[in-house]
Amino acid sequence: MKTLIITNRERFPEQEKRSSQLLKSLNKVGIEGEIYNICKDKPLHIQFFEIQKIKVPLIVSFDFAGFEFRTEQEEISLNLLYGRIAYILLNHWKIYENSLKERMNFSMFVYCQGEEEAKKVGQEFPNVPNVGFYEGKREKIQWNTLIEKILLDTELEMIR
Amino acid sequence: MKLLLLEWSAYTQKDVNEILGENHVQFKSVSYCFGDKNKDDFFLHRFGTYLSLDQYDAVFTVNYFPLVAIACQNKGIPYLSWSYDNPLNVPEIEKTLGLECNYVFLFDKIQVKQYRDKGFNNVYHLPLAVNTKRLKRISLSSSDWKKYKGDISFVGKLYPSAFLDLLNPLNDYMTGYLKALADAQFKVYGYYFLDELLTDPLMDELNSQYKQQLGEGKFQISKEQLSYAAASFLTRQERVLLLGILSKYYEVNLYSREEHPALSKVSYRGSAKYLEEMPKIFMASKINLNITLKILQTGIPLRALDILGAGGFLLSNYQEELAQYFIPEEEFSCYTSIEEGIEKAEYYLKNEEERKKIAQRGLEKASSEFSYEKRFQEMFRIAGI
Repeated sequence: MKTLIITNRERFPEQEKRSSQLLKSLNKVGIEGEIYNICKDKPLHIQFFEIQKIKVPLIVSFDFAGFEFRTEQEEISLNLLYGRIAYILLNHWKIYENSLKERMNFSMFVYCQGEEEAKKVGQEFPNVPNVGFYEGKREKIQWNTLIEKILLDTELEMIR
Repeated sequence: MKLLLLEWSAYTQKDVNEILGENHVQFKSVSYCFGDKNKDDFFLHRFGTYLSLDQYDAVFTVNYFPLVAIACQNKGIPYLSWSYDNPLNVPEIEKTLGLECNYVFLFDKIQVKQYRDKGFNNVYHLPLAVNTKRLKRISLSSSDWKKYKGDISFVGKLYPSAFLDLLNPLNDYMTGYLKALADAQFKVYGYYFLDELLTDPLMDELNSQYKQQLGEGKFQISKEQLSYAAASFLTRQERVLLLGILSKYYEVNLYSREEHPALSKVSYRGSAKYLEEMPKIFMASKINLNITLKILQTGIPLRALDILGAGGFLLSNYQEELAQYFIPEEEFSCYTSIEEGIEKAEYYLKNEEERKKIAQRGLEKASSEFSYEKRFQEMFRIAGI
């Protein structure tokens, strides 16, 4: 199975380390991956087109990277992609308030820092289709557990 | 009444939601993007769960989704779908169309007739709608006027088509014949006869030539695919020709993702945002063109209603239902040839007062007869909910 990891390192520099850690952990369980970093140098619609061409069953986005791509109806372009998307939030949920209000496909799964945050997000944003959490912060994120959780939630564990 | 809405980035979704809310129809929205519209276990499982979580009187979608029909059939819940796409772009649609739960609403009378003639009695004719209340809330600032003003505007695709490429492997006779059919269809408005002339023996001969030229199992084409390729080719021709000629004499603004080498004199503006920008374009342009996809035989396309509902002046190719519901040259203007289109553009650019009155009357008709409220009332009445 292949995944695509989307980052925006300019907005959240921490993503560089975390995405590499995630990629290593994915590789260890036999899942290939590549990282696509959203940059300022290229028009957004070109970058979205490039991401669209990489057809994978699972995309992992850090901190809602990819929400920069917008449709003509001013919604997130990621809703136009078939496949599961897991959003890993590396910071407190308050930072993502605007993103959490966006219409999201029910093939999207949001993972917060810890159970308390997940509960709060679920309460404040009932329209977010799937809210989960991961254990650990920063260097202590338990990637293997999170990967297993994502595969189970997204019903992809059988095609791994 | 409580509905479950499956949303997907439809142009009309926000209007649907607004009107349902205003009319105190309770609904829950969930969203999804299909890869294979006919096979998706994840979708069936999850959507089925949503259906079980509450008591819904029906499910509603803009456009038709076979897997939604299956999910609804499994739960015994009515499924109302209202399509603004034509053709429907649903492979093997007839496998699920006849499901008992289905109430399928289409805006083209001929398309409805074709399905009903095949025994699908749960397919109904329902023209599209426009939310003039939302459009009235949009006003033009002076910078908007500057940005969007123009003699003539066109918002839409140029329809890239594979039709000419499809002719390449064919012999001269077949190529000539198909080109002649296309040329003839180009000149006719209000009747798409290509489908009747793409007979089974013709398609068999065509596919046999593909087999000979390209090899066994390499390429075959269905009648629907060829028909669509021809229709998009003809529509492209009409759009490029009309825009190209008009742009020689008038200021023409084109809002489209694609540029075309023959349109060197149009002012190319890129794509337009549907909810905010498009209405402003229609308000600020003296004339707004609608050039319908050829395969759409009688129905009023969404774009035409978008123009009328924004109070824009509509100059459209002849469509039977446009002329049936709106009075030609009183509530909109129509043409039945490229030459007539050019003449009418010239006339209405010169006659500002008359043009504005026509636009105003068109808006009044759209407001009173093409509201979402009216359409939903009709849908719910037919579905018995």
